[in-house]
Amino acid sequence: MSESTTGRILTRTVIRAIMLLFSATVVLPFLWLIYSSFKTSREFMENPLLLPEQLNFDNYVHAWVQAKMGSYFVNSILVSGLSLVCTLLISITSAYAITRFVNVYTKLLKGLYISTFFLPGVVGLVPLFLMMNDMHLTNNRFGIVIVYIALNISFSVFVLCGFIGNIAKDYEEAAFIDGASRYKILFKVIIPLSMPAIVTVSVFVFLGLWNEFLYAYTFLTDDAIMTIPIGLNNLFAVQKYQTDWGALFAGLVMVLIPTLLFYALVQKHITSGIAAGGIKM
Amino acid sequence: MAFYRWSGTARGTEVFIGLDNFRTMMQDDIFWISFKNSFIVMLIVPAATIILALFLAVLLTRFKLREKYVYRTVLFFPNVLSIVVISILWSFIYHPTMGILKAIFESLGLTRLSEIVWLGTSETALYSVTVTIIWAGLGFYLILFIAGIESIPVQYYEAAAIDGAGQVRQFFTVTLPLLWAVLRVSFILLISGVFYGSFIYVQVMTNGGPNWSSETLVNYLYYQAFKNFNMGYATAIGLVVFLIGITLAFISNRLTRKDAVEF
Repeated sequence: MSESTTGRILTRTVIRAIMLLFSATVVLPFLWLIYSSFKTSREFMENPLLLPEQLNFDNYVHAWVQAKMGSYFVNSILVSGLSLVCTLLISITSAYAITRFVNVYTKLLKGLYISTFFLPGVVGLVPLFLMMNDMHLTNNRFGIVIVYIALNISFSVFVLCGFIGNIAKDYEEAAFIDGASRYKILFKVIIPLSMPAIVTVSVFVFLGLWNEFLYAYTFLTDDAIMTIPIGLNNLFAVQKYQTDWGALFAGLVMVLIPTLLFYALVQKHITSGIAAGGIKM
Repeated sequence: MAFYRWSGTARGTEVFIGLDNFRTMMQDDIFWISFKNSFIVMLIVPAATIILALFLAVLLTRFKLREKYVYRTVLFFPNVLSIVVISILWSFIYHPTMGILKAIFESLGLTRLSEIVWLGTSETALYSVTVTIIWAGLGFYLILFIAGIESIPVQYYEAAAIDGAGQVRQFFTVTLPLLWAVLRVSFILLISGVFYGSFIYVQVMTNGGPNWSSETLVNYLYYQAFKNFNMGYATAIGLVVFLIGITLAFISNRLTRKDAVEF
């Protein structure tokens, strides 16, 4: 008996070692990034694994002011926030209509929404760009918000339809008898009941928007309206020649920390969302 | 528009050239390099991601580690990060003078490995980007597989253990067949995801270089459209990309259509 327990302890130790190794490949680069962001330019030239001699916050000031990380943050919050609110408004109302009024038109609408699901964005990029250019909506915050809303509706409607379809009609009928209008039912009955689905959808849509690169890279070329991913890429390209690595590292940490906090807050929603539906980010 | 020559500046300047864009494509060396690279990435990334994620998921679930949620949370973290942040971070890991990879190899005494300029050499650039893509996507599939394995009834494993099957045998006779549906979906997700998703990594980390060695089809499309302003040609490439994507999804759906075992 004791032989098998020692064997079991041994296998578990080996497995722990393997898991720790893989976790280290994730944790160590971020630790390195964070402590390197306090280094001076001279220290960057020395052994990259060394710790900085003292905490040097100049890099953060550089990143926030000269590298315009502050303005990128404001742009990202404006664009992602507005897109998320509009997406939710449109997709909740249309998901409700699609699940509760089943007829030829809503079926067609649902089919349209879901078909865009399978169309990869890159293929339509050039035509979309030309169309937006004709409407003078490139290099414009509202232009990109419109694109983002259009991109996210299909996913949100798809998930919300599945959830609202499972809510028993009895609640609505009861509210209807009490004299509630359709809109009142939507806002007082359906939305509170489908809160779990709405929160999950919001988390995924927001993360997607916050990190979106392809469209922002194509549509936003003016420095003043760039979002964080584009701004960072821009900064990276500039620093290849200016070699102010400290400011770039500080900028990366500034983006990393809010994401880390957000992840810690909503981690449960994300993992349960993936486990339940295999939602692709 | 795939049949026109047009720079995209003003309406009315487009010229109808029939199939000329496709003819150019056939003779375009860079198109074929990107074609080959796209397929290399599509072969390596899905296979490596699924094998690694499955291996880790089996270790975490079958050996009942108490802290498995910690590992799961840590390994998933890259998935919530912006791909740009990941790409820049990995550019510095690979960096020829201040990268940690170089420093690690140096401290281990592997001077030959530490001298390689990972992203700046034609032979290694594409594979270095591939490693980053696998690293970034692993956690997502790990969660998917853990959930899949945990939904398999314990009795099956108990029955297999009583019949004398070890962990390896249990994996091939119980886990693999019962997880087949999940694996199939993951494979299709990965194939199409990588085909279109490798764009950002390549764009930020190598910009297709050096000397086009890490260019993929989507990057080439982007280059033709927004750097070369050859909108007609770019749309023609887009059409090919779309057809490849559809065909791949169809083939992978067919190939993996083995009857999923009900339980």
